[in-house]
Amino acid sequence: MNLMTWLMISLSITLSTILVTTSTHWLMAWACLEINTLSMTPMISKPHHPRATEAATKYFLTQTLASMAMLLAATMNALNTSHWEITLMLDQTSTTIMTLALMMKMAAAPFHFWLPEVTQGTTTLTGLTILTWQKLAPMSLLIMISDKTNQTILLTTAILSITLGGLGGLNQTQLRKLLAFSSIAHTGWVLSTLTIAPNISTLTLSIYILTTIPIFIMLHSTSSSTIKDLGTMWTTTPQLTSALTLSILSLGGLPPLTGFMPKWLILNKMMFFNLTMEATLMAIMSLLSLYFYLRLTYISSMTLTPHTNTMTMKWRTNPKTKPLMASTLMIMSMLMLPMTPSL
Amino acid sequence: MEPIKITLTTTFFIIMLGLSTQHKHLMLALMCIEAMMLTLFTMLVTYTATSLAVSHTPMPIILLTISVCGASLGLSLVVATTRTHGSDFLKNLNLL
Repeated sequence: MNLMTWLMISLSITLSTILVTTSTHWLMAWACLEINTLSMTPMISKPHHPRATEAATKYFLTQTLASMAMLLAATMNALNTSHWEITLMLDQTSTTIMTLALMMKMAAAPFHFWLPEVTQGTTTLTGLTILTWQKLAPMSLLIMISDKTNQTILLTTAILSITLGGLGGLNQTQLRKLLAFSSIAHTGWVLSTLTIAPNISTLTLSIYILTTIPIFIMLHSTSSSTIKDLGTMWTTTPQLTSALTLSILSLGGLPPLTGFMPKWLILNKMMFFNLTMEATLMAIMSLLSLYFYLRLTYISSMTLTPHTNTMTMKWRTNPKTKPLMASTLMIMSMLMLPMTPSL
Repeated sequence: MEPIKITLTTTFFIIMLGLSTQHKHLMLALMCIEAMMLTLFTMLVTYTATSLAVSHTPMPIILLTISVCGASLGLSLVVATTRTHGSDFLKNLNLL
């Protein structure tokens, strides 16, 4: 891709997301989301491979459908109450449609089917953008309407997301699809406290982003695309295997690592609001995700996979990137749990 | 006002159903999307015609502009799919 084109497209992806978070008018938010989709689609189809074109088509169709449902909800709200402000969604039906459309945009459970395929079809770093940056705009709109949304819908979607994210990843060997399913499960955790404590949801999303970025950068710098590639990672960078293990365990939410903090706060808050049954279901269903995270750590650092002599020669090639940002973020994604009282 | 609202909303949902049940051509899916956009345009025109605020007048034009951008991107995706997969059949999109 041309450098100028690349600059323009990434600038409009960045600016449209920032404008969505600052806008107060529904039509403005819709226009920015549409510009975001329009500039993300060429980014996805950049590799000129049939897979990339297919991923771009699927991304475009789902995102356009979601944004049109969103505009329908806003227009219905305006026809009934003549308000266009985002925080003034007074109509109950249009608020429900709006919530569902925004969930489709950020790939929560009943509308999650596009996310693994789109992430698998593109390059690793574009996949990282889809899983992290693209969630910010719909998430900020959901937070802005969070006091009007129906809590039953949000909790059902949260439990379904965690279950389906865990179940989908169980039989998966492609790393990008696996991380997309993990993203679906994390979306469930984010959505669960949206009405009762939006600040905890924001914290969960930011910690998820903080943990996913170094993992994707590591996968990019070692050119790993399947679980099998993790088995020979020790030939190039032995120290990254243990770092990757700890980051993945932090993504799974095990206690001494940062990933435990959001789960702890969410379960605590849900118990406080007498949602014991839902909290128990979510905690049990996240064991499914933990199973495939553990399988990743087992392959990458706890066993020596069978390999041929030529596979160990990978260390002779130069590494793709210098993982400076990855190491900083990695340390943050492991050691931030003691900072919980200050948040 | 009320019958127009109900008719337009029903039209929108019927076209949405049409988009989700047709599995043959990508082109037809794009045409369904354009039909949904036109329904939304009509809804916005109805809204601005009844509203007294002047600042609401350019809203249908903004919608139309951005939907045209979306349509051109959709057509370029049809071209890209035809070049990589040989046709614009949706059943060919099964690589992932």
